[in-house]
Amino acid sequence: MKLPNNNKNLPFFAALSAFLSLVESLIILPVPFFKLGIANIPITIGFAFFNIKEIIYITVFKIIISHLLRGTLFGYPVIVAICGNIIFLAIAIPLFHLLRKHASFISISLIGAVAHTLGQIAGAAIFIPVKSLIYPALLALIIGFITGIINGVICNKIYYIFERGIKYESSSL
Amino acid sequence: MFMPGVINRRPGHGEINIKTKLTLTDLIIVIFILSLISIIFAKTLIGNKNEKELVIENGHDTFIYPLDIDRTISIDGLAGKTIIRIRDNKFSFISSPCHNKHCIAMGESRNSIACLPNNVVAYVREKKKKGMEFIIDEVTE
Repeated sequence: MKLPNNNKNLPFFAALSAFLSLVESLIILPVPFFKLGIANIPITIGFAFFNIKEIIYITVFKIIISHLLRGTLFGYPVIVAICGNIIFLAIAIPLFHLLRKHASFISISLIGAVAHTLGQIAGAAIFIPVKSLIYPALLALIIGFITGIINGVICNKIYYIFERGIKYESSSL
Repeated sequence: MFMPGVINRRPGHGEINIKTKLTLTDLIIVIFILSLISIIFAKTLIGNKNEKELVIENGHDTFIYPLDIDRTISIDGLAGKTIIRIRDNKFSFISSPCHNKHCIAMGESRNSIACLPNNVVAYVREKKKKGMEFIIDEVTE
């Protein structure tokens, strides 16, 4: 795999996403298997900075590194994670380009979180009977809704800081 | 080193504008997703509430009763009347004209009980028709 070198910040975003993915796996939630989704913050902000190919690089890097370090690289969690991320990217990227002039990251993050959850449920359905997934899926959707909004607000704040930095550097040149 | 100034100057990338504060579109999307989740939640809970039913067969007829309504049923068998009680989503044979009374000894069940001497079989199955608003309390031939 050849890493694209057309943007110096791509490795930073990829590493940050993988790091946050590891960190969130260490945060114990009252409900097992659920995560805060903070690893998707760099990816969501990355929609504004990178093209689709680069976003996929960041996502693949995040999945491989985080699961490699967690020791689940060849287990079923990878399949579940891949399913979640595929649906997340397939819905969130077009939506970002469609809504960016009218909406903030809150919408993108929220819809992305719900899409990610649905993708994970679909992935989990390969290994677990669908009937036993109904109630965890509902719970996951509710948690995804809450974390999606919170992550969206965080994305807005971070992007606002980036924007100010970009404007400042542009004006100082 | 992270360089935010580099981000927007990629050739051919153009200006990137996205709102950084809550907009009306955000609110509409949040409300839409919330109502969508609420509908799914409500439908799942209502759909699963009356999920199972008790089927009783006596060789001639098939009787179907919802399992979530407590009641006592009298069924005519080969040797006489069998009394079946539905309580707390479980059912039990409380009276039977059979000799061994194995069916009564089975106690409360969520699966199946058969009284072979009286030719009465009762078992739980999932409802075939979902979303029915009336209580099924009928005899199907």
